[in-house]
Amino acid sequence: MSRRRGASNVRGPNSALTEFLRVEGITENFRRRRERETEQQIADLTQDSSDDVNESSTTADNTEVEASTSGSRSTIRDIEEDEDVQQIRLAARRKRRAAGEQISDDEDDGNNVGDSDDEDYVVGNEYKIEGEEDTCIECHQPFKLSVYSRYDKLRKGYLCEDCNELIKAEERKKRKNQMSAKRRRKRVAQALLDKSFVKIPSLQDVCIKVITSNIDQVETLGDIGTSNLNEISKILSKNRSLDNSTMALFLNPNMTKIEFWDCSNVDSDSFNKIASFCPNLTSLTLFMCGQFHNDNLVYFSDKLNLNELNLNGPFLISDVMWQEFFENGGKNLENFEIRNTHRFGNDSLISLLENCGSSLKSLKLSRLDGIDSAAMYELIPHYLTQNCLETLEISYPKSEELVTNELIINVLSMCEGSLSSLNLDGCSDLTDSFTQEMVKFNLDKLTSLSLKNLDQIKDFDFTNFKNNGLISLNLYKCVELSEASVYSILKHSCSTLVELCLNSVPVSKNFWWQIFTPNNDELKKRYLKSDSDDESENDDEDDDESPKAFYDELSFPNLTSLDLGFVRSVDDQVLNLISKKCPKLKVLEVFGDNRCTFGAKVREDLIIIGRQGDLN
Amino acid sequence: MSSEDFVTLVSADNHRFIISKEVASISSVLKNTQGFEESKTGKINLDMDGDILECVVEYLYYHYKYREQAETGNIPEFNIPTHLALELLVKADYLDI
Repeated sequence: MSRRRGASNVRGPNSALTEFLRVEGITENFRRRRERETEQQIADLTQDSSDDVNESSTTADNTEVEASTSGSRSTIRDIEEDEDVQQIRLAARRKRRAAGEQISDDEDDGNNVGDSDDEDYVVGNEYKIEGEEDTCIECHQPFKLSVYSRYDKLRKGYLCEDCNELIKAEERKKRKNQMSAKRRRKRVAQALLDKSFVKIPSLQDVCIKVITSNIDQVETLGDIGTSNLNEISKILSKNRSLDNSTMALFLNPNMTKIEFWDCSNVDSDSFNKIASFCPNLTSLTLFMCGQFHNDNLVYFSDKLNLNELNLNGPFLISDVMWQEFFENGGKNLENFEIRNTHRFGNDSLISLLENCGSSLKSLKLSRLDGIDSAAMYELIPHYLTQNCLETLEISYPKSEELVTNELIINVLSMCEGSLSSLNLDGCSDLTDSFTQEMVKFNLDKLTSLSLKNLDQIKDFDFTNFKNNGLISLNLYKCVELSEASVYSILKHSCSTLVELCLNSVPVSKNFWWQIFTPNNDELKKRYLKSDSDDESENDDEDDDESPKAFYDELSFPNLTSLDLGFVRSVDDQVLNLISKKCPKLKVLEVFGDNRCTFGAKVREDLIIIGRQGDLN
Repeated sequence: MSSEDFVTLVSADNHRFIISKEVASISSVLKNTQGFEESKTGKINLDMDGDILECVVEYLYYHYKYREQAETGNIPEFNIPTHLALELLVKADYLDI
C-alpha cells in the first residue's frame, strides 16, 4: 500500500464505485477491518465489476483455500493447472509493472495483492514489496523479492529466481511443443486439402520421373524388350503417368500390339502419333480415351489395318464416324470391344455387324446407352458366322428389357461350339428360362462365365451341363440363386475353378460345412441319418427337395481367388475349412461378413481381405 | 542384433545383400515371403541382376531412413542411374515399392 501511495499521483480511469469508495475513505485497510466483522457483506461490496468469478470466489472463501493449500505442498506442475487464467493475469501484471504504472485501482488486484498486516494469512508469503526477504514457496530458500518474482496463486507465495527460471523453461518448452504440433497438424491438413499425400516417393515414382525426363533419349533408358514394354505400359497406366511424353516410349515401328490402359492424359495429337509411328500395329487397346477424337479415328482407318480394337470411353467419336470407320478401315476387325460411350448408337451397331459381323471372334459391348432398341440387339445373331464367336460380352444395357432371354439363347445357338467366355453382367431381365436353355447347349469350350447382378435367376442346374468345367465364374449379387443351384455349379466345376465370386449369394453355413467335410465324417453321417428319418431312405448325392439338403464333399484344387463378400453365413469356422480345403487359394474377400474375425486359423499365405478388424 | 534380424537378398547373378528384416519389410512382397521357406533359410532369391538389386537395397534404406521425416517434406531426392530406369520400374512394381 505504502508503495503505491509513495508513487506519483498519476491515475488511470476509475469506475464510479472506486471513485466513490476513495472519496469515502474506504481503503484497503478499512475494508480488511470491516471484513473481519461482516466478511460476506464487505466482500460483496468491494467486488469490482471487472473481477471474474474465479477471483471473487477465492476472495470469498479466502481462509478455507489458504488453509488447504498451506496444508498440502504441491509441486511445480500444479501451477499449470490454472495456467491459462494465471498466465493472462501474470502477463498483464508484468506489463503494468514494467511500464511503471501506478496501480490505482485498489480493488483491481485486491486478491493477488495480499495484505501484510492481516492475521488471516497463515503463510508468510502474502503480498510483499520488492526488495523484501521472502522464502521461496518451491525450494523454501530465502531470497530477495524483485518485481519479476513470480507469484504462485495456488500456493499463495512467491517463487525465487531459480525456481522461476525452471518454470519458465518448462513453459517455453511446452509452448514450443504446442507450436510444432500445431504446425505439423496444419501441414497434414494442408496436404489433405490439396489432396496430396506427404510421403516418400516410391521407387516406381522415381523411375517414372527419370524415364519421363529422359524420354527423348530412349536408348539411354536401357533395352528392355517388347514383352516388357507392355508390362511398363501397364505400370505407367497404374501410376497414372502415361501422357504425351511417356507414350513416346512405346512408339516404334516393330510394335504390333499396344495397350494403353489409361489414356486420360494423352491428347488428340499424340493419338495420331500411334498410327504414324507404328504402321505394323494390328492390335490396339485404348482405355479411358476421352480425348480420342473423330479425326484420330479417320487417321487410324487410313494408316492402320487393325484386327483388334478395344476402346473404353471414346465419347468424342460420333455415330456417323463409327459407320464410316467400319465401312473403311475397320473391315478386318475380328475383335472389337467398346465401353462407356453414349454415341455408339443403333446405326453404328448395324454398321459394325454388316461389315465385320461375319468375322467377329470377340465382341464386347458394355454400357452403350446409344443402343436403345431391343431389335438392334436381336440383329446380332443374324450376322454372326456359326461357331466363330469366342468371346461375347453384352453388359449393362441402357435398360434391362433390351437384352432378353431369347436374344441370348439365339446368340448361344450361333456360337455353341466356339464360345469360351460369356459375360452378361447387369442384363437383369434374364430369368430362369435363360438358364434352363443355356445348360442344354453343348458349351464345352466355355471357361469363363460372368453373370453379375442377375437378380431374377433362381435355378441354375449344372447337373447335365455339357461343359468341361469353368475356370472363372462370377455370380456377384445373384441374390435369388438357390443353394442347390450353387451346389450343382460348384460340383460341376470345382476341379477347374480358379476364380470364383459368390458375393451376396445366399448360402447357409450348413452348406459350407457339408461341402468341406468328408462324406465319411461321423458328424456328417449322423446329420444325414437324421435327415433320412424324415425322408425315408434318401441318402443319395443331391437331395435338393428336402429342407435338409445333403451335399457331397467338394475339393477345389485350383481355386486361387474367392470372393465371399456379404455371404453372411461365412464365419471363422468356414474360413478355417476354406483355408484347409482350397490349397492354392491366395486371396479371399469377406467384406460384410461380420462374423469373420482374426480368430480364424488360416494358412499364412492366404490373404483375407475385408474383415472388420482390418480397420483398426 | 542377432542374425535373426537380417535377411539375405540374392540376385540372379548371385550377388548377395544382407539387409535388416525391418528394412526388407518395407516391400510387402519381401515381407510376405517371411512365413515360408525363406524365413528358415534367411535367404530370398530374386529374379533381378545385381546392379538392379543394389538400387533396390539402396532405396529400401533410403525409405527406412527418411520415413520419419517424410512429413516435413525436406528429404533428399533419391537418384537412380538412367540406364536402369525401365528395368528398375518393372522390378519396383513387382516388389511393390
